[in-house]
Amino acid sequence: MKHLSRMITAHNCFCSFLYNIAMLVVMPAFLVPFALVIMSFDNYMGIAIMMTLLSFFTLLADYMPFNGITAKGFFLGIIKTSTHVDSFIKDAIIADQIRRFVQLTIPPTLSLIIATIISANSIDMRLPVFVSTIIFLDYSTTTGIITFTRNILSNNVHAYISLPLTAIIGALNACMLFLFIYDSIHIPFIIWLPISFILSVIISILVFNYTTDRCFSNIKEY
Amino acid sequence: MKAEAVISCKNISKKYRHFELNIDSINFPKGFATALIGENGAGKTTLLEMIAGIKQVHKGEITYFGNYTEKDRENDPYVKEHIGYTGTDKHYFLPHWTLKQTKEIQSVLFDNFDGEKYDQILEDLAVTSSSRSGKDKKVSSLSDGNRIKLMLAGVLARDTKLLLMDEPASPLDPLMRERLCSMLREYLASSEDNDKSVIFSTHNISDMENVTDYAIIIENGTVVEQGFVEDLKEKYVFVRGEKKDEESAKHILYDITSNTYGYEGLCLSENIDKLAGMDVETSIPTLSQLAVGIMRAYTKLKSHS
Repeated sequence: MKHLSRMITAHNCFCSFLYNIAMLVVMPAFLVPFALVIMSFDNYMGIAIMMTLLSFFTLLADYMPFNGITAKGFFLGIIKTSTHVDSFIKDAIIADQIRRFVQLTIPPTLSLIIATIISANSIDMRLPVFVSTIIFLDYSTTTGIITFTRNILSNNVHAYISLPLTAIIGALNACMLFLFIYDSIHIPFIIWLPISFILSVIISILVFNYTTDRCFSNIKEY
Repeated sequence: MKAEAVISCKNISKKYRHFELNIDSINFPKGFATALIGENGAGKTTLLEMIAGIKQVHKGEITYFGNYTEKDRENDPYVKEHIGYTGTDKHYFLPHWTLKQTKEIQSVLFDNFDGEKYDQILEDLAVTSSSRSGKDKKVSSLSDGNRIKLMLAGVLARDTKLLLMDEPASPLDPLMRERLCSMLREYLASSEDNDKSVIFSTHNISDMENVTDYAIIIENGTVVEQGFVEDLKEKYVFVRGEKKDEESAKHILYDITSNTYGYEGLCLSENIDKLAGMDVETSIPTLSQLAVGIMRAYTKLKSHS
């Protein structure tokens, strides 16, 4: 419990209250209705487009709390003078990864629930699997891309780079959409769920190690 | 006067593109307040950041509390827990933090942080009121002076043995500067075995004179003078003389400035006899006169006369 409280403190040290509200409340409030409109035509398309937008905003917004945290010369202020700098940064990064996962989970889950309530008969049972798969997939890609963009200190450069990188996420989402809808290469759709889950776990671990190593090499360079 | 060192710097060197810090030897005395004095860009902040561990890449050795190395500083919690650092950077506390958050974060970062004492100091310094809205104030909404008070409250709310303060007086009003001096005096006096020390950099030499025991003057990245203020006041004499003697005095004085009516400057006490025969008035220099005179002797600034 004490550790959880330290993690929240460390997370909020970088992410302001307004940022958390914007990411966890305001963004879903806009994206869910948007997704539902498209889902009234095509459920899969609605989820895929919303997730691409959600990933784009996640990438862009990451500049605010963690701008250049792994870049050389990033100023950690008072944190750097503490004995607990290592555990504090580790806690902040773990908490951020959990928050990002929640952030990417809320809008599609809400959209799925609302869509199911509105049109129970027309919901394909593959849709929940698709939603879970795309959540893990987009979590993996945004987390991977953020690891790269956190080396950038300039806001403009960050924005210019985030935009084309979102195209990668869009392309991956489109591929997943294709695989689910058309079953074109005769691979059972369910296989993509464990694959994307394992991918997200591997990327989480790699990114955690990379980010903490980079932060510490900035701090502990002799 | 001789004293044990709280921090010792030996053969410190750090190169930048247009600047190089080269410190042969500094021993910051334990139990005293040391002022780092120098022009802008002289290397004061760089040196303080090296000691605090914010800038870690450099040559040479820094020893803490007599026997801890820089590696110990990173691995043994004793060193960092007993050093309180206040910097000039606006992002020392991130702008979106609320005052309540600064307390929470420091409680996590420092084991010996006393939250109640922190609140009390902030209230005493008129940064917060006891109201809830006062504690929800953001760091970004504070003036530079209040931000310094916030840092000051943070380090004074901990059980430290050394305060490292970069330009603590600059953004403060005259009343608060006086308060700062008395707070530092109280801090030094609060230890029974004289083991608390303060190292601060300043441009406000006159305001900080009554808290300065030891002075280190840095110019162009090197230490040009250091010693206890009382010893320096014996080493140098402040001299005022008439215009007619200016040319002769120029070769004897350590530093000289002239005006329409005469000249004034610092003279090494050992050379004061050489001024015999000239119509001069001598006095004990203030720390400000000492520092300005010594800095002027080494400055790269071009004289406008």
